[in-house]
Amino acid sequence: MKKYINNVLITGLGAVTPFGCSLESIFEKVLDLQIIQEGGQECISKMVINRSHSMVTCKELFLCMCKDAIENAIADWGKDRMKFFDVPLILGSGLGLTDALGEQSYKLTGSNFLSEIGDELKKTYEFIGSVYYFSNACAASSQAVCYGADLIGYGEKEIAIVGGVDIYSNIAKAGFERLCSLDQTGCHPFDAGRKGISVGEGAAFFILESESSNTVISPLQASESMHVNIDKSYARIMGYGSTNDAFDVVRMDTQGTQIIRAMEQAVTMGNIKKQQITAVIAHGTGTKLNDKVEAKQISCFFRDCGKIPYVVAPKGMFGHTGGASGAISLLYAIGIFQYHMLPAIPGLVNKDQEISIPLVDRESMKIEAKYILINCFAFGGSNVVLLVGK
Amino acid sequence: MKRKGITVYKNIAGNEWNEDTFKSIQYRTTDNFTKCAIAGVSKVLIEVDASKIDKNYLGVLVATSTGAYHSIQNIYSDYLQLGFRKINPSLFPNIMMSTVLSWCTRQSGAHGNSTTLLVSQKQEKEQIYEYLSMQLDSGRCNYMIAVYLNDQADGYCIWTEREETAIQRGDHIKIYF
Repeated sequence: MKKYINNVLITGLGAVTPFGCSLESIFEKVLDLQIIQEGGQECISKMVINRSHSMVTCKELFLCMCKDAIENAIADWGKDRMKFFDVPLILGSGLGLTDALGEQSYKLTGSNFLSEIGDELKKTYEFIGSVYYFSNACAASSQAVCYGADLIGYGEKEIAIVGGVDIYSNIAKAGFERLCSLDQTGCHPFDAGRKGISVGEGAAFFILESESSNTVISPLQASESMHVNIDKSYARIMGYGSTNDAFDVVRMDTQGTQIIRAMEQAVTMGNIKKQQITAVIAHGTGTKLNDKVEAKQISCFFRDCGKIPYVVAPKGMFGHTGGASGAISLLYAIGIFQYHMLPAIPGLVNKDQEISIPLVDRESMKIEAKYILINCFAFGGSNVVLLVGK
Repeated sequence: MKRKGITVYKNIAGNEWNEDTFKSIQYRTTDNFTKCAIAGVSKVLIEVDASKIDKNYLGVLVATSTGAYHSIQNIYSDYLQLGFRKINPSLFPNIMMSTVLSWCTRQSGAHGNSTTLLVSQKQEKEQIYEYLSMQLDSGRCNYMIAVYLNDQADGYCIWTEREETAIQRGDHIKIYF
């Protein structure tokens, strides 16, 4: 696998979550002791109840969340977007507009209603070039971020907008309830009493930019040779690994060979030693088997390092945001870099004794993180591991 | 930029597949959309001797502009009529694109980078080829299978690779990107 020829920097971010829309407001809640003790379920439930009284359709909500998160990211980036053109928008969403089928008021425009979102977003932003829409379940936004990083890292593009969105889905909730993998009390990653996922929602988008493009020439004003200084960057995408179990449609391969391989790919591509990794953001869905397998593989991967890095799990707070979960985890990693804190895992009360990885429980801890691994595993066997550096 | 392209191109048309392929009990929960994707992958694999290649470098891309629309519609209709208890847990995964992908990776034994894309019908080929090119150029995958399907289960399945790997396998690129 080739190394990136350009450094891929995250220079803008925007989000929409039940806990706020800025990194500051979200991290204030992430570090709130009460939420750590109780988990984020109450907040998510309140949001769903409030939503049920509104007349907003799925499509309106989906587009609104995308637009707000993208606008926040562009505002945070702080540059004049009209000076750029052909900026790809790469989004990931697991179920997307699927719930629109349940709305009597919603008129379907045809069987391609799911893929229309890309065209709708393109209409909104004149400067956007192609829109790529990844729909690979829980790994959707991770793969969107990875593809954006590839486009920049290998010199195909200078800038990309990447991220993920998933709205609270009734059909996802019903389906997972039927599969007996839903925990009505919220998500409790790595807890002895964990029963399954809890459905959440959120959107997080990022501006990815090439470091080597300190000089970006606008095709619209090529004669003026515009200089764009990258004076702010939240983090750097060092590399990623992406593998597939090719094992089962629903179950994860308990051998975990492909998870380990994805972690190895990410570290090799990032050109670092695994001993340098400060923390792992686990996929940590709160399901019995998946958490056990993930913990085993993390432990196995770092076995020869002498020490396993600290592990955190954002789903205790945000619930399972489906296709957006990779993007939310990336936001979490940026928060760890910015606030120098590893947040305790919300909803983790009694650690599962069979799990032997260093989980951050009860209290958040101060840390100077340098490299963070972000795990993302999808229904169907896709394993995506992202390596980000400060 | 290395020369790369399509070595095998197979059309997928409606339910034009060998029924024997789906006699096994493991396929009882697959929908028409998934069956077409599996049939497409099988057709391609018949022409490519994939037995000697490293499956860690074989990836799959499933692209569609509709998704498994009929499955989504059926499952949603069951849910709306009688609530979550009416949902068949074995059929529920069919509403997700990851399920089709999972069947295709199992069928081909692909352990490389694999994903699903929802593409606009106007730009379908452009987006698919761009994605495949990136995987082959970066060396993340040496071979990529791409399946494109719509809800009528019409589409195509292709085997793509770099020129050098095609030659190593004793084959040649038929359509260059």
